[in-house]
Formats: sequence, structure tokens, C-alpha cells
Amino acid sequence: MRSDEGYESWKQHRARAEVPPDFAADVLARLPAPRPRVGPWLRVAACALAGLACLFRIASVLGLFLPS
Amino acid sequence: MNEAQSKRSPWVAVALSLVSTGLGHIYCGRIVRGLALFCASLLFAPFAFVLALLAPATPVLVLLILAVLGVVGLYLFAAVDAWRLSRAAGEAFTPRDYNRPVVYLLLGLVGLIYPMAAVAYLRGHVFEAFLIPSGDMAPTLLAGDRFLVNKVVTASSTPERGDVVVFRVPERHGQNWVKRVIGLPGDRVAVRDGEVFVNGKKLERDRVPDSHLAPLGSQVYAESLAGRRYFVQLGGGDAKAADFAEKSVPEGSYFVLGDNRDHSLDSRAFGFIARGDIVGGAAYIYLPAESWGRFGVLRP
Repeated sequence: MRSDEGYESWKQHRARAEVPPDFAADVLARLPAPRPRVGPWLRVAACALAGLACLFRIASVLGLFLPS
Repeated sequence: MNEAQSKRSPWVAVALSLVSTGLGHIYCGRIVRGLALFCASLLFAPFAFVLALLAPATPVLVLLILAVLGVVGLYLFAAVDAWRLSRAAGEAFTPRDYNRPVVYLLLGLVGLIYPMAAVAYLRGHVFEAFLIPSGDMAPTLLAGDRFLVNKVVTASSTPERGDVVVFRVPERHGQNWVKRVIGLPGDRVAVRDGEVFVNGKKLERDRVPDSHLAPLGSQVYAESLAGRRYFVQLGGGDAKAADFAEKSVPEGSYFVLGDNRDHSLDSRAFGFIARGDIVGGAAYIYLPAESWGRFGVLRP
């Protein structure tokens, strides 16, 4: 029983431990910054541009058979 | 997810692949496959150059068409494959040291510029496509035929008698015409009553009976010149072959005639053509006007 009392006493002592004042700020600073979310309109615009680029490349290659 | 990991987005992978073949694979961490696809997409231009060096044959044209279609197929395959790989990479992807914006920028620029620059070079120095607007060269080339001119062979050798060549018309800026070479520099050429004479010798003609090549009212003949035989067309309509008084072909010039002798504007009208105005030799019909039976190497 004496050992249980000792353990409880130690646990209460740990629970009352002083937390440094900048602890929360320090933890937040160590977390990776959240990436800005890419909006759906930007995604569509990028894909449309890439599609246009691909069409341009295909047209360039097929241009070999385009009569002068 | 720890700090070093990031998600591979399928739409980014596809977009990068569309801009430059293999770039989507590099984005997904598959640099070997990405670079292999990237290099394969660049190979069609040197391949076309090699094909231009080969002797004209229909399989060469088929290979050229397959090479061009293969490149287009490669572009699309790479995009689909990059999408599949990005999905497989999932959320936990550790970026490699080559996953940098500068790599994407460089390969993207090459992927965008190369096809345009390569085809511009090929059209200027290797193969150029032309469309026949008239029947001056019937029955060899018909109005509406699309054919390829080989510029590599012409640049490295001089035209021979019987060659079909495309040349610039100095009087008509921007126009290219196609005719058959009849007289070389130093030859004496003449046309009298529709008969062609080279160095005093009349070119032999054999009538081709009931030729399917001949339009109504005209007749097709097989003409021989310097060991080559080709078809010419006479008659049809009211026009009559113009004569050409005997002259020597000047140095660096050629005497050319259309195969449709009675309906052709050629050296009989505008004189000799300069070597420097010759663009190249007609090599392949890749889109014939009437029948696919004429697809392939230009005969003869």
C-alpha cells in the first residue's frame, strides 16, 4: 500500500508540473504550415492550358503532312 | 503523414505529361520511365531524317506515317500512365531530389518547343508536303493529290532526266510548281507538234490502250527518257501542245514539262528553271485524290 501512495503522490506532482509559457506557440511553430488549397477553378484552368499545350504539340507533329 | 511526405495529385501528373512527355512520371518519382518516354518522344525527327536517306519505297512512307502517329500515341499514353502512377503513389510520397520546379520548367520548355522546331526543320530540309491544285501533271499526279517532297536527296545530288521536281516560280512569289525534268544543263531540247526532242533524238512513246488513267477525250502514252518510262497524257479539250524552238539548256538550269502535255504551263511558256529554285524531288503520294491504289512511292 505504501508504494501505491507513493505512486499517487508522484502522479499528482507531475500533473502540477509547470508548463513553460511559450509551450503551445512552440508546438505550433514546429508543425508544417498547411498548404494553400488549390481552388477548383485554378485546377480546371491549369488542365485546360495543359490540354491546349498538348493539342499544340500534336498539331506541330502532324504539321509535317500539312501541304504548303 | 510526416513533414517530408506529400500527396501526388493525379491532375498535376496528367497536366505535366500533356505539356512534356514523361514529366508526369518524374513528378511521381519514376525518373527512369519518365526520361525514357521523354527521349522517345524526341526520336521522330532523327527517324524521319534517316527515312529520307533511304531509297524511295512505299514501306518508307508507311514507317514515316507510323512514326508521326506513334509520337501522338506516346503523348496520350504518357498522360494516362502518369495518372495511373500518381494514383498508385497515394498520399505518402517522399519527393526526390529531382522533384524541383526548375526540372519541371526545363523539361516543359523542351517538350513544348521541340515538336514545333523539329517539324519546322523537317519541312525546311527533309520532307515537305504539297497539294496539287491542277491537272498539269496528270496522269502522274492528279488534282487534289497530296504528296511529299524529299529535300535531302535533292540537296546532295543533281536532278536526273525524268525526275519529278518541285520548284519555286520566280515570277509568282510564294508559288511552287511541280514538273518533270526533261533537259539537263548542256542538253539541246525542242518540242515540235507535240513531240519532244532531246539532243536531236525524239522521245519514244507507246500508246497505253484503254488506260483507266485517261480522262474522256485524251490518250495516255508511256514515254521513255534516259532509261526511264513514265506516263504522259495528250489530247482532251481544245488546247494544243505549244512548240518550243530548239535551244541549249544553260548551265545551272533545267528544261521541265508537265506530263499533261496539252494542258501544262511549263518551260515552253516560262523558259528554263534555275537549279537554286528547285525545292526537291516528288517522292511519295500520302493522300491520293481518287484511289488509294496510288498511295505510296511516286511511280516511276
